[in-house]
Amino acid sequence: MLIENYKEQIYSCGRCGYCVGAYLNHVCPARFIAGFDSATAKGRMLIARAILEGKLDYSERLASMLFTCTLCGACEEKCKLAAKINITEITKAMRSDAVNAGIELEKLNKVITPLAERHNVYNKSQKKRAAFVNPSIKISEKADLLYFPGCIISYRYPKIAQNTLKVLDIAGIDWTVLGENEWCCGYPLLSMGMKDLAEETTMHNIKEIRGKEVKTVLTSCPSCYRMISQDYPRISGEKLHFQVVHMTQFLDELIREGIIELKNSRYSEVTYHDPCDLGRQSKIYEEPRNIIQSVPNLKFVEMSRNRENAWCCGGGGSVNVAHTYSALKVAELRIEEAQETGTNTLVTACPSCIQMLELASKRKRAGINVIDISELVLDAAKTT
Amino acid sequence: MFDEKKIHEKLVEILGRERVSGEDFELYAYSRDLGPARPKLASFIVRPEKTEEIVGIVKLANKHKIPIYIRGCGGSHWGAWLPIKGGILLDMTSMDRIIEIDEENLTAVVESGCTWFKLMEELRKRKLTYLSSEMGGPAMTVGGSIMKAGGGPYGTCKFGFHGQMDVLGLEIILPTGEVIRTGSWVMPNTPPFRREGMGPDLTGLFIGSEGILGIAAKFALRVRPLPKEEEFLYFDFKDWEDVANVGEAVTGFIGDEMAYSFSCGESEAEPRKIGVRIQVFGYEKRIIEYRRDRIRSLCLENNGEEGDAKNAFEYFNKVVTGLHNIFASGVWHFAGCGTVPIRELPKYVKAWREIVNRYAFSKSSFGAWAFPRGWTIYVLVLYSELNEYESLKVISDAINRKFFEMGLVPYGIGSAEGQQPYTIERWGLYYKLVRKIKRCLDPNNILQSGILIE
Repeated sequence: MLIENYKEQIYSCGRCGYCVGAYLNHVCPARFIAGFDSATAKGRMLIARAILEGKLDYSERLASMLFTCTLCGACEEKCKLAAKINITEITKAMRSDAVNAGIELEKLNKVITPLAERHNVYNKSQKKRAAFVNPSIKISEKADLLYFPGCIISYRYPKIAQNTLKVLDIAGIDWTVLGENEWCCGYPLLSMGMKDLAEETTMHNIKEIRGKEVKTVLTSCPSCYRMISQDYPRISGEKLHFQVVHMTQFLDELIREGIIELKNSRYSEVTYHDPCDLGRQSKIYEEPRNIIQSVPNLKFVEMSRNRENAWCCGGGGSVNVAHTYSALKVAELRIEEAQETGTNTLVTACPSCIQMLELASKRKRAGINVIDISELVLDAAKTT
Repeated sequence: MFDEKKIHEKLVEILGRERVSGEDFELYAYSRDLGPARPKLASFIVRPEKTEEIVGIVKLANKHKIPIYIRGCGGSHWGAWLPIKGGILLDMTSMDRIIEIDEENLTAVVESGCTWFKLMEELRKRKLTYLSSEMGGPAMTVGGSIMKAGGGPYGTCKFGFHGQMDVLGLEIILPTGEVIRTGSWVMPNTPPFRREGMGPDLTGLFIGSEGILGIAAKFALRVRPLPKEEEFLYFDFKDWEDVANVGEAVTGFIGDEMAYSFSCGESEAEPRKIGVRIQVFGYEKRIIEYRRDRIRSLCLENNGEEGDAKNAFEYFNKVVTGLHNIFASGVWHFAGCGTVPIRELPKYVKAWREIVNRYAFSKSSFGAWAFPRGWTIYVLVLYSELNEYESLKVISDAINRKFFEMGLVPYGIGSAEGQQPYTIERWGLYYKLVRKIKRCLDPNNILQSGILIE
């Protein structure tokens, strides 16, 4: 069992309850969804112990409960004050062990099968991977920078990719893409416990990127960023031969260096949602704020929970697949927080968060316009 | 024995399917508290949201003679809620509302599963605060700590334990399903502003009972204006006799204690370095400064060496919001935890030293905080649950045995796997009376069955 690797950590949980926080439902989206302790980190550590001690077996019901966790890492932030347990990794290991024990969740299969067979989460043709590139543009075979849009941007939010290419154009940076050779980054597979498939995907993408001889991989998706920068070296056992940059880091640098100059924006007031894989999991908190605050005459209002304490959009950890309705309830709470700021524009830097928050805003008729940070930047850059 | 399937359906009728679980993994998630007691499995976990639902559960349990155990966020330390006979475990955290804050009468009414932190934040918005709190961390619930008559380093030096000054009334579901209120809350249309005047103090009967006599659904609490002035002091001492002298002096005038909070401790890692943290808290700057200076003089007269007051500031601020790096050297266990009269502190320190030296156990510290004319003491033992469980049990038992022989008054009744083996046998007729009262109120012995009364 993979959780054997985390035995010391699992037994170091003192059940202090820091992971559920002082309001009990304000830290952990899984507890907010499920209400019971099995959804919390401290409850999960007790379940893991029972499994390690042979008292409890994986079941479909337990697997379903494990998939209420968005892997947002909010509990881990709290646990830093206590036992410093790597809760999200243990949760992923439990999911893998459940898969290895032969447990299948039907809802997940709808995503796993296309990922295994067609290498994207939407069961679309790989030939459409780079459909966001204007056909009149000839894609360079080799360049220093490779843009890795990921599944959601390629197939659902091509505008974000197009914005990125415009930024690259403004900066005068030559770029390339993997096109139909780009497979899903593997993060959804990893989060669903499909370790072997995630490894296969990792090795494929590393090989393809290496073939391009690039120095930098740029991505707009925090999950791709996290997977490539943190999990690819761990899985492959090799140091990456390229640096991985998230769009927020890239834009922040371009603005600071004066390569992109921001003037007036059509937006007057915005708030910002920290994507979990960008914030808590990759510690990128300031760059997006720097970007927003670089836009002249734009008022920036923080939501009450921000940075390390930000509430998840509900879409992480494949919860949006396993428990779609519950995931939306989590997103709706975030939309309520955005409404409390008094603004009607919510900026974020993650296509998955945009997907969840847009839907939640519509369901609540909240009137919150959710936009990607690249859109904010390009808007301010072109209305000069 | 009962028909689990049938009971499950009945519970679903009362609470709805979403708030009842009999899943095996769920039972494990609720099988431990903070202490080293072995896992205990309930048959069902339920999450009531209102008093009426608890009434339904209690009536069902009575009819089928099913044990009920009551839990806040689960942070108790001596098996106080662990379902040792199976049955129904009530997770009270869905009852977390603040019902009312009465700024005129300076009272607050809250549900049992409300955390102290949540209450504190709401009170602060109105420039109010509560009297005292214990150190159970951010998830500590009002119900959990009052029902064990808890207390902690924060405010206890001035106001004592929960129930001594801050609890004005309770809403209790009796083991047979009737709902009663206590104090002035009994009267129709009268706010819960006074605890006494209704004959025997039944509020006091339930406080400290840890749920064996009734399930507390709501609490009426005394609150007070947020003090405007605050001072902190930190001193190092080498001798516990000196610390005891200062503690005696600051609690010398009952009702007018000089310090709001007074906490001290020594770790095996740094022998003879006793850190003392003091908080003075009030409304008039002159009075607070006077008290601070008096305490400073007392500490200096008793060989204390003044350190950075920031140590005390950080400690008292984190007592409620959560201390840092708490499990850096192992999981916590509190052994020999209870209260002793004001002059007896040093002899318990001596006993602690003898025991840890005998067992050559290094990951241990002794701590205390003052309350009016007494000390709450504890031995914190850090251990690895994976490798040191058996040695932890040995040293913990040795400390408990010795301290209770010396006359320690237990902090919470706990269970048979906690401190009880060393306590009940000394209670004599008092224990028989508690048992009689329990039988009278709970003829089927369903509430917290086996926790204090078999």
